Parts: sequence; C-alpha cells; structure tokens
Amino acid sequence: MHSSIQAAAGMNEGESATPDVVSKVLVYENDKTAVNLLKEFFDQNHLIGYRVNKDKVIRILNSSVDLGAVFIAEKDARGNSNIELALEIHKARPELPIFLRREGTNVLDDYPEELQKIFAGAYMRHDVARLKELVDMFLFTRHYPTEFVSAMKEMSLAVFNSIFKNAVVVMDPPYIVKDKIIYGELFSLMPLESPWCRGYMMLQTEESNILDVIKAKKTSLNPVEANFRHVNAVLGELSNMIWGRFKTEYGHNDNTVKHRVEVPIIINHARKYISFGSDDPQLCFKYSLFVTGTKVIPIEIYQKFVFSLDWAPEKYSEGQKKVDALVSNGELELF
Amino acid sequence: MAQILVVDDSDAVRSEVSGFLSSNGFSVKTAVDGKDGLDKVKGDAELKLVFADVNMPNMDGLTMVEKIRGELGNKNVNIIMLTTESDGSMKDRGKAAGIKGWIVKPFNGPNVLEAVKKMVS
Repeated sequence: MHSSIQAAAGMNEGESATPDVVSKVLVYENDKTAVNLLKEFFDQNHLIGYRVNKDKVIRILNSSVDLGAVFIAEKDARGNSNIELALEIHKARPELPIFLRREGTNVLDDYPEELQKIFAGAYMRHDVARLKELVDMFLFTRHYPTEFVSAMKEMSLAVFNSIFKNAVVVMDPPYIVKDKIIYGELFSLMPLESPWCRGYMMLQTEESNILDVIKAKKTSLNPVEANFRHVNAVLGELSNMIWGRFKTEYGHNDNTVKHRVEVPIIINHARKYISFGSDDPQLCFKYSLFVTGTKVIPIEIYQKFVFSLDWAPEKYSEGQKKVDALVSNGELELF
Repeated sequence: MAQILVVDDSDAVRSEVSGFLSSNGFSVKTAVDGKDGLDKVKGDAELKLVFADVNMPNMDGLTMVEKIRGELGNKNVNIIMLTTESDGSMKDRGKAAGIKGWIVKPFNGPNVLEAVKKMVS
C-alpha cells in the first residue's frame, strides 16, 4: 500500500518534479473490498496508507512515526467490535483524526457522546464522496502552495549539500501530519516569518548519526574532538542557513510589534511531545543523507514547518523574490 | 597576534573558515560573538582582516563593526560580513560602518582567497 514512498526514495537533488504533498495514514481494515477501495481512494487523494494488524497498531502509535489520520473498520473480520482499539488509538494519539467505516450508516448518533468525540466521522464502504469530505475537513485543512513546497525542498537540499560533504540526499515526498510527536533526541526550533506566514521550522534528528559523520570528516568540524556540542553546531548551522534562505526568498514581516501574536510552545520530553498551540496540519520533509565514502548508516533529518501564528497563502507570490538574492551564495560582494 | 579574526557563534563556521585560512598560511584566531570579537580586535593591533557573522547572541555583527570603527577608532582593519542575510538595508548599514565586503553563506574559500591575500598583505 505504501508504494508511493518506495517510488519516491529514488528522488534526489537532481529531480526537478514538483512534489505533491501527501499524508501518511494508518489503516486497520480486514474487509478486502474496503481495502481495495481505500487503496484507490488513497492513490487519488495524496494519501499513503500503512495497513497493519492489531499487534502493530499500538506499537506504531507509540513510536515516533508521524501520521495524518487513522482509518478503522467498526468490526473486524469475525464481526467483533474494534471500538476498544479505536479508544486505545485515540488515547495514544489524540491529535489524529479517526475515520470509522460502518455498515449501513455514515453517522455516529447512535454512539454515546463520549465515543462520538473520538471519531472525526464515519463513512460507508462505497461512499467515496463522504470519505473525501471527511479527509478534506479533518486532514487537508490547510493548503500549501506547490511553489512554496518546491522552494522549501530546494533551499533545504542546497543547504544540506553545502554542510555535508559528498552526501547524496534522498527526500521522501513532502507530507503533512497532525501529530505532535518529536523524532529523535535533538531538535532545533527556528522562528520563520514573512509578510504572509509566521511560525517555526523544526529540524529533528538523532545525535549518533551526525556524530558518525563528523568523525568521518564529512563536515568542517574537527573529527578528533567530536562530541554532542558539535552535533548541536551542525544542526544549528543547518537551521540558520535554511532560515537565511527563507528570509531572502520571502522577506521579513513588516507588522508592528504591538500586533504580534505569540503562543507558548509546550514540550513534554518524557512523552516526546511538542505543541505549538495549533491543530492545523504541519508540512514535513524527511531527508535521508547517504554520505559517500563512508560506512555510516544514513542520517535521517525530519524537517517540520509549523505556521501556527499566521498563514495567509492567498498573499503568497513568487514575485517576492528579492533582487538581493541574485548575488550567488558563497560569492564575495566587494564594496 | 593574528592576521585574521573569524567571528561567528557557530562552531562549524569558525572551524571551516579558520581551517581554510590556516591551511593557506594565514594566522587566524576566532571569537564566538560580537562582544568577544570586539575584545579581540581591541587587543590586537596586527589584525588585518575580520570575517564576521551578523546574527549572533550578546552582540550582533553589525553593531560590533560600528563599535570597532567608533569606540575603538579602528578604521584600518578590513571587515567582511559572512552571513545568511542578504537584506539590502543590512548591507547599507554595513557599508556605512565601513565594511569591505559581504558573503552570503556558505563560505567558499577558493572564491575569496585572492581578495583575502590582498587585504592581509
């Protein structure tokens, strides 16, 4: 069911195709007809489905896999209720919309109120229109302009390649999540703003992989003294340079200080949870860096854009490219 | 005493730039922010060139440049900004403070080597 990801694994910096934003969803479904219909629906609606059995469901939800939604059938193949499982799913990932497939009805009125609350909505097997309605209402609630998604991909890839020497960067299709999970052991948070958006960029990764790359002399840092602070430096520079390119591309926010909205960011380290105060879907990229000439396993870096403070894509315009950006990066401009 | 000072809050950038310059025969020292940079310019009359980031904690790079020219009265040391910024108004501020050049990161040593040699000689 997740063939889109396997196909995309071949994408690299040389690819010029504009990526469609997808979302990864969990599927707990035993009915063959329903599975096939979902597969077709997913292919047409930018969804990548992970079909799992009961044992795997909770394990996946307790991991750091970012998801957009869950599709679950009301009853299993033997006619037993899956509602208890749905409750467990909701408890593990309350941010995820759960879509319930029912027989004979697409409403939840017959359920007690506390159960109704855990589902985003219900649908019947052949009711594609209803499925689309639910997905649009609860998952794809935010439009990310294609040009913007492409620009983020290109500027980030350029920065990765300038910092990691001899690296092949493979990027999964951009995807959206509704999760608030933190991946890995460290992350950077960088405020991003422009006249039409304001929020944060998160870069998340695992310390050991970057440390291996430093020790393999694939960065500018001294490999002999490499420690966690150097990992911080690499992540910091990645974040800083992407921020710089973002600012060059989209300019800065001219709003006066007195009108600025601020929302606290809440982090629970024990639960690897971070909230920016918004339930809107977040735009994500996953980069796998294969550093040539070494035996290190690929570094995975998860990039997340959370425009929780302002989002007005109707004001987005390609014409915002500044003249200053015509000076190439790395060139010395003498005065 | 050193010929070149590299001022940046990033370990990675300080290491890269100073490493390149050292390997090309220059004596180099580093500073971690504008305040540290100011202290190190003050203490070194032999300094010929400063590479400075803009966005740094404690004191940003452009403020440091203004203080080098103003409070320290040092009009001679050459200063090149090495930064992620490319904003025109920032460049204007830098020019008004007497910087010699502007590089938008990433640092590309071979691109600037000739200019560095001239500024240090």
